[in-house]
Amino acid sequence: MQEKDYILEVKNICKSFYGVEVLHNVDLGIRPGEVHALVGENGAGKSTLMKIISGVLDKDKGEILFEGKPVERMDVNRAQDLGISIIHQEFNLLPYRTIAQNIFLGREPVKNKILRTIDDDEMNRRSKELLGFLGMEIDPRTRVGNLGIAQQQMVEVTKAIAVDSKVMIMDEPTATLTKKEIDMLFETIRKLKSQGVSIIYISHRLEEIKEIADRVSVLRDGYLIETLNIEDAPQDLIIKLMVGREITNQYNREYFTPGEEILRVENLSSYRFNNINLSVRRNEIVGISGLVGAGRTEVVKSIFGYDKFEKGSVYLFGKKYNRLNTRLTTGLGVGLIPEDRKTEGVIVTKPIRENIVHASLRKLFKRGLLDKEVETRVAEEYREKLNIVTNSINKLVQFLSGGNQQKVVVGKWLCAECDLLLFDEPTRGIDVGAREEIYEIMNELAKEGKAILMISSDMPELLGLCDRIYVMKDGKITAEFQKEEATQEKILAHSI
Amino acid sequence: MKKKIWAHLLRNSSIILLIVIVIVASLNANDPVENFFTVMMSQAPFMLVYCLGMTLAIIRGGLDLSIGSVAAFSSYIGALLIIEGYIVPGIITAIAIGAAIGLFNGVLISKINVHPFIATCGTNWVVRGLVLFILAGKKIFGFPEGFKLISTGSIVRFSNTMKISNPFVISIVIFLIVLFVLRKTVLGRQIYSVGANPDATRITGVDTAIVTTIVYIMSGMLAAIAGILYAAVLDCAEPTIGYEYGLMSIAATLIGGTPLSGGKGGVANTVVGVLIIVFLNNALAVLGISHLWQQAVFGIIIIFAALINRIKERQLMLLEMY
Repeated sequence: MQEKDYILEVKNICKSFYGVEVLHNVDLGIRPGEVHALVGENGAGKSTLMKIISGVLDKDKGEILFEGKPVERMDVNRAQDLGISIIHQEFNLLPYRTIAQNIFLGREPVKNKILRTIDDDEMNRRSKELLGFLGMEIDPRTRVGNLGIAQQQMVEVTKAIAVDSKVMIMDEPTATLTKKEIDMLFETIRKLKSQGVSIIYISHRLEEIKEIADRVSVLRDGYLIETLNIEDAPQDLIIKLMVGREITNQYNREYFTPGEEILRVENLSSYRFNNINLSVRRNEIVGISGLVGAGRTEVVKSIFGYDKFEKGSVYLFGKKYNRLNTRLTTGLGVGLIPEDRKTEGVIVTKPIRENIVHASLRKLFKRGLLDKEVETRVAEEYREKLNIVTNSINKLVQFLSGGNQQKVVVGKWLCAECDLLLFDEPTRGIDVGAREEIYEIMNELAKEGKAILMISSDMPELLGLCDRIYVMKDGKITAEFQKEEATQEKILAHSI
Repeated sequence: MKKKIWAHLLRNSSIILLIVIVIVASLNANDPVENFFTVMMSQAPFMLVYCLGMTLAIIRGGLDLSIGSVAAFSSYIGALLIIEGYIVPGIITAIAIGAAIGLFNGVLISKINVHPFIATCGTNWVVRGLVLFILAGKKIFGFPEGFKLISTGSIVRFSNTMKISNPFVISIVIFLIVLFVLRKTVLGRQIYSVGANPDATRITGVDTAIVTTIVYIMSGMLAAIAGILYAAVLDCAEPTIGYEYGLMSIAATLIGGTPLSGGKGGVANTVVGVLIIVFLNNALAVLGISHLWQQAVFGIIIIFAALINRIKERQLMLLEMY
């Protein structure tokens, strides 16, 4: 195929964040009027690539060609002018405005050029036309907030059509839709296709891709692995391409005979997850795998008492609880290393010293009076133990690298003498060197007899560290594997 | 070296501003020493007391707009007892009322999740309405001598005008207590952490609702104490005092260098902020600037101080990075 046949093409795109390269020489070509699926694990670089295409992020290297001509500086306005639009998983709609007002947001037709009064009739008329094209018989004066999710998505699509989009990026459009709504969306996609609109379709659901896509591209670890015609890409091949990396032995995990059971969860349910059963014992690292949005974080935060659960019970250290709060759980010796380090893990505007003792103030200072000497001594102790790289424990945490920040969070819980540690994405945003250190710390903790429950989207990490792995999908546990039987293919098959 | 001087200047910018203002006031006053003493002993103390409460609320990551009406209400109810000769019970009652209103604010904010601005603004009008309605604008005056001693008495006396007044001593003692709580106790540390990052603090197992409630109780009590001091100074309790307390104390806290975003700053900064405000008023008065202009100048100083704090924060951050 000749280059000029692509409506949009990217060549040799590279992008790094804080010195970590997340896209390596990515080449991708989109044909006019095709549905091009883009698949890859969490963190494979899909959203970064889409942000570069839609002008939200700037590329470090490489070229973007639109209709065969190179685009010098791609930014959001330029992308819009060219006709590239993106429909995010979370909608950019104003719920208290009407459909028409949302469609024409920022480009309202005006009646009077000087006063710039809005021509509502014209706006509603044109909105009705556009909606009609998609087969939506709905009054454009309806408030968006009163619409269902699928209809809101249609409004997003209509917005994109209204600006004459030639390339439409859909990021996980079906994540929140029911089967019937999905069919409606596919109908729309086919209609757009027949009009010559190209669609980049990001999804984890391989069955859907089979149904709607013409071609599929697989991203893995920032590399574009392969682009295939859909008929040449059976599901198991796609999965293989998605996970196909070597597992290097950076884990050095030693396994121990598990000790007493520290955590048991029975029939735990809330509006985000259903009937969760799991257990963790001393000397064990237990993983939870699953896609983003499967309810993993919600389960762990409920076990920790940060979020509420509706039904079921949690046994901590052999005692049954039907309600929990963080005061209780931390008192028992449970610690949470949250996914969102900067907003939940550390106080970035406070020094390392204060963060280390943050969870153990009552324990260290029984009479309620601070003792700076004790505080300094304890903080130094954990700085040494965890090898936190800094010139002083008085340095503000915001000036530390991600890996060192994570060590501070771990130190905080070790200082509080926790026996059960809940790690949510322990190595997200952490570079390779520091990752190995975190793995080593986790191994060391298991050796000391602590129990670890970890969530990770990084599958080699789970396979390399865990004694057992639970797999979650749509708020339910769909499988449990011992380390001997777990493979990436099996896990992925149960998560999508 | 140059960097160090720059850092020092920035760190102490509000003190420098204060010195400038004091000098301006002194140069123009007939008797600079007497002028200095009068301001320090009579105007600053009770303002400092209610500003301490506001600072606590701001460090916790909110604010307390109800302190003005709390001061009026609690001191008025206290005055009803004091005028009958029950001085100590009157004072205790007033402080208890302040604490109760603070508790109400605290529960609204921490348990029902009302934004501090809305919660305390609402409380402010409710309490003010109560004062005006129940008391129908009546003033209470002619307190017993024992009560008036709070304001007129002094421990060290140099001359009639130059003396260390009781309100000054009381405010310093209260200041030291609050300073101690914030700097040396676990509770103080928790107030800062809740202000800096409530989510991370809740994850460490701190009951952030209790910390918040304690802060508002303290703020209410401090407002009540300020009200009583004021009543003692004026020898009169009136329902209309304290209208400007809320905004004045926010201004003093911000000028001192405690940011509205919470988790930073401290009450020592607020002392500087309070002194800047009282001496600024004094300087404007001795300079003979029209009363009508004073508010505008005052506003300009607040904006100017905020600007300096902004620059300060950014520069200090850069300095700390390397």
